Amino acid sequence: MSAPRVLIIDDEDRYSELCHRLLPRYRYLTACGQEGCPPCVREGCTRRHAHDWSEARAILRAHRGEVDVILLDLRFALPAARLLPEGLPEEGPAVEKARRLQGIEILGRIRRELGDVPVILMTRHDDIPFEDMADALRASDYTYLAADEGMNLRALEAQIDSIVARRREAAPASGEFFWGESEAMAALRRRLELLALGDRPVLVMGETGTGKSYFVRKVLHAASGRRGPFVQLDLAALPDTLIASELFGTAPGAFSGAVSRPGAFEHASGGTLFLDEIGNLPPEAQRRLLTVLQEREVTRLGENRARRLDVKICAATNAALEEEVRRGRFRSDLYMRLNPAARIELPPLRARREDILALAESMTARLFSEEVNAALLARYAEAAQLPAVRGARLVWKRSKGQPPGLRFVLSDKSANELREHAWPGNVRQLEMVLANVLLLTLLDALSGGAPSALDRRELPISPKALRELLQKSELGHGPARAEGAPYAVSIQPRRTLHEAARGWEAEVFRALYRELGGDFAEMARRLLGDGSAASARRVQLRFNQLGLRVRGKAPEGESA
Amino acid sequence: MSPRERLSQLRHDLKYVGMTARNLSPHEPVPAWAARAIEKDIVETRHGRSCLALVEEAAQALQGLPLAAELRALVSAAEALSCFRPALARGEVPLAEIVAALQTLQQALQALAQRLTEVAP
Repeated sequence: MSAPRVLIIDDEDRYSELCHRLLPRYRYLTACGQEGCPPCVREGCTRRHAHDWSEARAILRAHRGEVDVILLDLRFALPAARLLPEGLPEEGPAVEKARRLQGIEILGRIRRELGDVPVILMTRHDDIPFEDMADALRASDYTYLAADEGMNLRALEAQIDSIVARRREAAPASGEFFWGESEAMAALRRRLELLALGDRPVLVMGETGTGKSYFVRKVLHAASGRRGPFVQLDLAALPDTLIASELFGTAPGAFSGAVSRPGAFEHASGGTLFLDEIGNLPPEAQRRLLTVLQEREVTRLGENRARRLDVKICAATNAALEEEVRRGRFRSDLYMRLNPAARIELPPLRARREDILALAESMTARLFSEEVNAALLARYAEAAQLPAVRGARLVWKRSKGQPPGLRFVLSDKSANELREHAWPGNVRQLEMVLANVLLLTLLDALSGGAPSALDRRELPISPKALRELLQKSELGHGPARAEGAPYAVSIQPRRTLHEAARGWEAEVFRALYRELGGDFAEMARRLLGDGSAASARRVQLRFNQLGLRVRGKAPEGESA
Repeated sequence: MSPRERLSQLRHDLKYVGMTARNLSPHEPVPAWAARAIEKDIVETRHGRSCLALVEEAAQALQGLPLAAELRALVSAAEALSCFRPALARGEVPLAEIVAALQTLQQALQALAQRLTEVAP
């Protein structure tokens, strides 16, 4: 979990300095142009926090969507010109009151301009004018820390952690998306809140495999705050003749055999409609879609009645849509309606190389958190005589600590290779290569190769196997496996590791069966290192479980 | 500034004096930055004058009122705190003693504020 990001708004420096010094695990957002705590405690940086609303607003605009918690002082001893509301006289009771309640004014601005970002309102004074605050606070959501509690940084830390945990639990879907630390993704994150809210369409662009669909489903839909359904329509997968009826729905008699049926727009009512591969939309459907976007109404095919729409529309394409417009294949007015100025461009993996290893680490953990894949780990634990293994992690030389569970170890050279690879297939290619190499490593260990290592919780990833998979992932399927050559496993998207492993295992059994002429004792000797009758029976049993059947000398059944 | 406002301001300022000390772990060595911060809070405070000077100034303003005992206790507590200045200047931080002295000072301030409400409501 990334460090919570905190913004401090306080007219005095001391509290902010203590937070930086004593609670260093948070990232403090500043106006000094350098995000994060360490640069701001360094010599030369004096802007550790916002001293008034104008500084706070500058920071919040620069880091839109990134703030987890705001620590807001209640009382500000500022000159009248820097207090809200503006236009106060230089001194007098009104100014004093404005100073006492400046935090409340700022809280109101935060709520109006930024919505529901959590605010901890605190004071170091005991004489809080609650009678003055009641009206102002009634409409605002905040956490209040009285003087003693606010001055105790451990109590403050507990509050921050509790707020951040609640907030992250409330948005589990967006939490699954791996953001990483790259500037490209940070910039995207800053704009996300602005794009996700409201009913303006969002155009998502990016090379193939950058995760456009995943991003829209897990992040954009979650951030939009819409409670309705998420509906996705892949326009490249639909025949042209069906696109209009799938999108807009049909009325009886619209065409031969048409029945009353809502389209994707109606299904997504109150939620998000994601139109993938929008560049594939045929001209007639483009015209209809333009009308929907303009009027915010949809009319079923064969019907005159328009239905009001409350749908967030997201469209994605990996094609250069401007080029399609220039060639006259995509309507320019529809293109402009898709809000291209504010489009989201998911960066290719090669533009965020600093994220590659951390992304691979996250993929590994996710892969083995699934029940079916955890079963493979259990098999390995049993074979290697280890206590129960919970989960698996990818580690390399510079990984911090010793994570629990099984560790797949990347050599320095392999880690560099992953970082430096061109990744034309982007995140999808990384996911497939990684799943393949992890599976190969695990299966190799399961068949008796690796558990001789000193720490059986660590499985080194073969640099050679990784390099081969990287090559094959770009060149497509190579020639059939030569005699004695290593096996390569191809994992298709949406195919579980368990299914892939079972297919691979069946292939090994089938090849051995053919090679050894159906001698199960010899197969047991090769596979288990033991050719006894008992082992031969176990191998034959597994052979049958894999769906392979003896027919003459050639087994048949499921294929890999 | 009225005497009550002056006392309120003083109590607020003193919170900073103690905040650093109270948030440090008593079982670990005090870092150099914290020693400097505590020293600054006692010697300079936010107003550029020592904590003792601020207390004496407040006591001076209240001299005409029947608060002699409370004022003596307050000044005495501030003097006790100022005794740590030489040690702090050497980089030594007797954390527990400083926190105790601060609590005494805060209590003296609170007692004075309470009594002030009685004699000058």
